[in-house]
Amino acid sequence: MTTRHTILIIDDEPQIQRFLRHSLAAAGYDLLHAETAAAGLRIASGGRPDVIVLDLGLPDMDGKAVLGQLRQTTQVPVIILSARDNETEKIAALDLGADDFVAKPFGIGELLARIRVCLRADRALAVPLQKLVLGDLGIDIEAHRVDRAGTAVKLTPKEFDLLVILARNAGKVLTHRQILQTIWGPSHVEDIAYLRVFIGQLRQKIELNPKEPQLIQTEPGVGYRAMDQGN
Amino acid sequence: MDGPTELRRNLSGHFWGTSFLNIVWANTSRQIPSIKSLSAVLIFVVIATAINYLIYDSLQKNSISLIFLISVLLSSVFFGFWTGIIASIISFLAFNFFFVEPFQTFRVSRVEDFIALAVFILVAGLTGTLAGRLREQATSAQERARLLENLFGLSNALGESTNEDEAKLALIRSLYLLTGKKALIIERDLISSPPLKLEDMEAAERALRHGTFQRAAASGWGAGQLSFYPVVVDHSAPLVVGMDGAISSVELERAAKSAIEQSGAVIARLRSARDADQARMKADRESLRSAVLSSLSHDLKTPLATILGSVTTLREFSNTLPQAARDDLLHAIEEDARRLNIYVGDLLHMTRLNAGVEPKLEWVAPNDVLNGAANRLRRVHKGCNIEVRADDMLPLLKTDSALLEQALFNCMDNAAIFTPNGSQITASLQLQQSTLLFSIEDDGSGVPEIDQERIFEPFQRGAPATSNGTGLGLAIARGIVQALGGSIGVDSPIKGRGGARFWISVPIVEDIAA
Repeated sequence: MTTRHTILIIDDEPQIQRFLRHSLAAAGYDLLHAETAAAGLRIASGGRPDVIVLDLGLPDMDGKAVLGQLRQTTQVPVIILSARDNETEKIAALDLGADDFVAKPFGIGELLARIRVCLRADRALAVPLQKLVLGDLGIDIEAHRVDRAGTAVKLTPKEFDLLVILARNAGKVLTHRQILQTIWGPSHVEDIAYLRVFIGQLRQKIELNPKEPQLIQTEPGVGYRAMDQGN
Repeated sequence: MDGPTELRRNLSGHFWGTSFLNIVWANTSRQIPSIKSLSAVLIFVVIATAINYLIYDSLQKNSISLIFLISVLLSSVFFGFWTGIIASIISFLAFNFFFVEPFQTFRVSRVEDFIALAVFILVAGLTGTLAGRLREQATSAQERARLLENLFGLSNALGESTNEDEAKLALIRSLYLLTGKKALIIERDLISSPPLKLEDMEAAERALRHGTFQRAAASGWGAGQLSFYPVVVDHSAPLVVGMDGAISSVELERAAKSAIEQSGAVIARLRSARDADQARMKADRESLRSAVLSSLSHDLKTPLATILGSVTTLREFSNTLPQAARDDLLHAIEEDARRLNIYVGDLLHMTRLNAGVEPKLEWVAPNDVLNGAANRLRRVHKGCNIEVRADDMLPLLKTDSALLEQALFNCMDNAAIFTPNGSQITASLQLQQSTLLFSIEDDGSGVPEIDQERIFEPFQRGAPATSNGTGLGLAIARGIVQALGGSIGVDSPIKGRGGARFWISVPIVEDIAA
């Protein structure tokens, strides 16, 4: 590991802070923490964290408002922590620019994996990749070609775009809205059923077992996530 | 005769100035003489004839016509225009028959008699016309006043009505007073129910579909016997009013229409107010439900998150974690498992109370219950400072001691949670007439007045929101106390001191509500 990364946790639950302190330290991160949105925003601008973990249920401010304010000043990756089963809230946060979410309760492995993806995506931004790998699929963006172990997989242009946007963000959740907006444009952001059909077709072509998809996973009610390539 | 219009055209064309007749006719309603008025006319004329007969010899002939004129005048004044005309014709005939030579015939032999008769019919006609017109003007003014008064009364009644049924009743009453006809208000869905004949059902449907009046057919036409008028059209439950038969005059119908329109507007307004109320209540219920669910989810998941996160940290970093971190994580797990246990216990309590718990009644010493709760508090909140003050000479209480102790404990627990560590909590017990009053006083920051009712609702925490309580304790206490037939409340600040006093009062009667 070249540099130590700093994680800012904004959560009002002292017990959550307590175990995260130990686990993140053990995983080799430096930790900043705030128990209110106000303190969180202050530390976010002063402490230069590499990833922010933000709980949506803060006492002094709506989580979405916090996110809005964060995004005005910084593009640092934000992972939402949410104990609420409130899909709309979660999706709104993702659409507002959060990078991912982890639902409480969670195993520490899950949170650490999300943090790793965020840190990697952060680095990857600088180099636009021409060739992507998703599981055993090779994706050549310039040549518009997908192959599995040397055999070409035939995709329609839309299916290809769909695969590319998911593979580019491997490990990260993309909301229905984000995908629809990128591929079909702003007038189609509500056509979730449409997207479902395309994902189904794509899975038929790229998954080894389309009934138990591995490469593209569904985040129920939120969106899709391409398999994380790991480190 | 082709009816008044025809007659008017003929008359005005031949004899009179059009403008004069227009004045006369414009203000005459079509009051057709009734049997009663015709009989009265006959009686007047007979009396006039009799008088003339008695005094015929001593009078000049001119006086005869004057006495007949009186009968014409009386008829017009009492019964209106047409009756006046008929009276003048009958008087003319009687005059001619009885008092113009040759007697007992309608023939006239002398020129001066002919002139006298001609003058009589002219004067009688004019007199009758003018008097009748006055009479009918007065009548119609009276009628207009009656209609206005009625509509005004309706508008008052409508203004006072708070629901649709009251407005409907006001309309039915008003229609009855206006027209003397019974009316019924029918919802579209009920139009096709048995009491209505097929023709009437169709007429009612037509009234609603076109938004127009559907008058009852004249008898003998075989069509509907009811008249229908739409009341409320633009609504999911349109209303139509049905009236027995057709309304006799245009003026009455106009008044009825105005009454119906007024009522329709009020009913529509009442309905939309009711709909808005219902929508708001539904939204309130929804938002309460989602607040409860969100709170429940938060309260259950936060300790779970600590436990799961700590356990997975321990496993993931089993080799690298320092011993101190390990111990801390294990402590965190233990604490949150306990917290979860309390929470689940509270939830079960709540569910049981909601399901309707049967108190197990037994005779207990109230002091023991209070002391039991205080001891439990000392065990749970180490270092909390609770003092129990109770008289020794208190009557026994027939109650469920376990439940009562739980309610008291929850109040004490609440006091301990929401006051700084080491605060003084005082639990006391007093006899007040036929009730026992348990009080739990603290010296904390108190409960703002607006929250004093709310804190007894499930999942409501006092401000400042803390994660210490489950938000259920006081709700459970209230559920228990209600099941025991008592009452619960909070006074804050306590007079002259601040803080809060939670009180539970339980009746000392033998048969308490189960």
